[in-house]
Amino acid sequence: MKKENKKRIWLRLDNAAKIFPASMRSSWSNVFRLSVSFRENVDPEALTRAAVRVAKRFPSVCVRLGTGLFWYYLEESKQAPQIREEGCQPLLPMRKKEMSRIAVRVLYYENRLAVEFFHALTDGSGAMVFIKTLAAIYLEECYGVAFYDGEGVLFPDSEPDAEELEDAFLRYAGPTAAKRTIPYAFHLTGEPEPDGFLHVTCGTLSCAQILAAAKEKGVSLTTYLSAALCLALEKIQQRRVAPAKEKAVRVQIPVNLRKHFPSRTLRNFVAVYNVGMEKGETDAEFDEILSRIHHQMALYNTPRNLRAVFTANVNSEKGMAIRLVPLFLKNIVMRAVFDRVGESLACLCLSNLGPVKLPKGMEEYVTGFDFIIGPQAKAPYNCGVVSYGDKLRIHLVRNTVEPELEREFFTFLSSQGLDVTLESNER
Amino acid sequence: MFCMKCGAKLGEREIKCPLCGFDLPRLSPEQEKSLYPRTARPREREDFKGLLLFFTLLLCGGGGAVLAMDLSTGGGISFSAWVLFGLLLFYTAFVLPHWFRRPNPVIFLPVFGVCLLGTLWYLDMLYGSGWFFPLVLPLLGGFFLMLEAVVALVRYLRGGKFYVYGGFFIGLACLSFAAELGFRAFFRHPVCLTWSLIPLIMFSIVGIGLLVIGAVPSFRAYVQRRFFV
Repeated sequence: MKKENKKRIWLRLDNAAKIFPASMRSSWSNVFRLSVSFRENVDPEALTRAAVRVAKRFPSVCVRLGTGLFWYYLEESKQAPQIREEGCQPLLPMRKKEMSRIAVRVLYYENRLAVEFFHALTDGSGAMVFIKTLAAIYLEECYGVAFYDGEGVLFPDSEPDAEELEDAFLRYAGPTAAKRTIPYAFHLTGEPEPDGFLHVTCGTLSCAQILAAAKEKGVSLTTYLSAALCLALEKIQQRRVAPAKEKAVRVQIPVNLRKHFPSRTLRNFVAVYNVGMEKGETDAEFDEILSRIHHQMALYNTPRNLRAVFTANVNSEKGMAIRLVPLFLKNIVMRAVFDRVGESLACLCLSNLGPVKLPKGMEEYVTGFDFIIGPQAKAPYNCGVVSYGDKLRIHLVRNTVEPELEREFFTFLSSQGLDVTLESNER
Repeated sequence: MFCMKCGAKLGEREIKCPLCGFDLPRLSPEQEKSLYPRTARPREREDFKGLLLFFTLLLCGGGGAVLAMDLSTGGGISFSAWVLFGLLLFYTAFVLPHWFRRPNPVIFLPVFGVCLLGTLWYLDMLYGSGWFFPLVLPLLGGFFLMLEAVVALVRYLRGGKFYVYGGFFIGLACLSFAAELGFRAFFRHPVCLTWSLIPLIMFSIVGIGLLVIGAVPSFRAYVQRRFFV
């Protein structure tokens, strides 16, 4: 009874989240999704009970998006996420009306439990903690087994820690802000699906096999996949654009800043950098691309550089002049900037969540994880990667008719001797 | 299984190759299952048609009753004109667009503008005030034209939003200036600027600021750095 009278938590959007509500539109919002597959079909009743418990533990994730005079804000939702059965495609755009109730969806289909998050709430790492805890609570509700011993699974009945709710950007912002502008990248286009259907193509590979291939080249898995995507993009650009008009082909790589700056925040704490081939170099071979991206990553993925990148954004948030501008004016400027440059510096985003680890015993109930990020606002593709056990799952999504990038990308991986099995939601 | 056209290795549940679009023959019972349900998802948008019809009938009935009352009591149209035009404006602004699945503001904004101007013209004629053509039509008409231009340009142009919004704010500044001059001329007051100076300056600053951001690449890059990771 006491808990019900508790005042709901109210949060400012974190530094990275501020752009997401401003840039959303009726047909697009920045949504991503994590799903976990169990050995047995999902029981909706147990899942409903689990969702109620997880909502109390994650007051910064189960939130509604509110509109203030100067900024958007997040407020702990009055209700737990409603459990729904999945439709024929994931990541339907979240509209403001839906977000004003709760900006997270919990879905199920056969043996799969999926959660779709509006990106302003959390990033991939925070979302992974949420879904692992939800899965653990669900298993407790179903089978009476408890797996709350670390590996990112939180105790459902404990109180949320203040550090979990912090905007870690503000804690770690340094004195130096990055100033770096780069020219626009090649813009992927295609004939849009008339009914807005989102094609999801999932390639499953053996982790051991692809890690061996990456190790043979002396690079990381993310570098290997980024280079394969850049090569595919190069080929598409060569077919479509005259050589004189070719632009850079780049892939945007999000970095989990918690690895460099210790924080237990469950909110956004991520920075991005772009890697790839610049204008004039877009006829490079795979090994050349690999080498270049490998060195770019070494250059960009350092605590100093990443701190300078997010410090620039934190500084802008602190400016009194910007804070006092009414929200509708901020929206106009932020959306105009987003449309012009937000997605123009890279062709698509490659988000690799890395290997998922579970508490001992929980693996017996869980068969896999999937990570899907929605397409960009004005470019049709995006790519999410996650691995669990020996399975690496690469999800390419697109909202256009022709599967050009998928064809180039997965065909190339196969040509490297990798065993790729494809699944899709083709109709 | 493998695609018979392109050779890609596919999951057992696939019915169509995601790389080449080849329709696979249904040979395995596994193909009845799928990665996502094959049924179309019901549209999330609720069906408001019944509610809209109710509102339409309610407004028609209410308007008709007021008109009948006015005609029976006064022998002509007087107060009912206000009610009827109020209902018309409410209907065009809040009810009419919802009859359409994706209401296009480029169409509905001028519809509302014409209704509003028509209402004001009628009221002007009813009372013989003579303020519609010299004052309301140029000012309100100008405002709606600007708003329509912004809505259409933002909807149909890919870029140039800084210029569009910048132009709109400068247009608002000019309109506030014209409004004060118009009022002073209509009421035969001495020609000078007082209250319109504040919106004139504010809108001009915002408008010119947006134009400068749009026109100067280095400034645009600065805004980009300010707002983006």
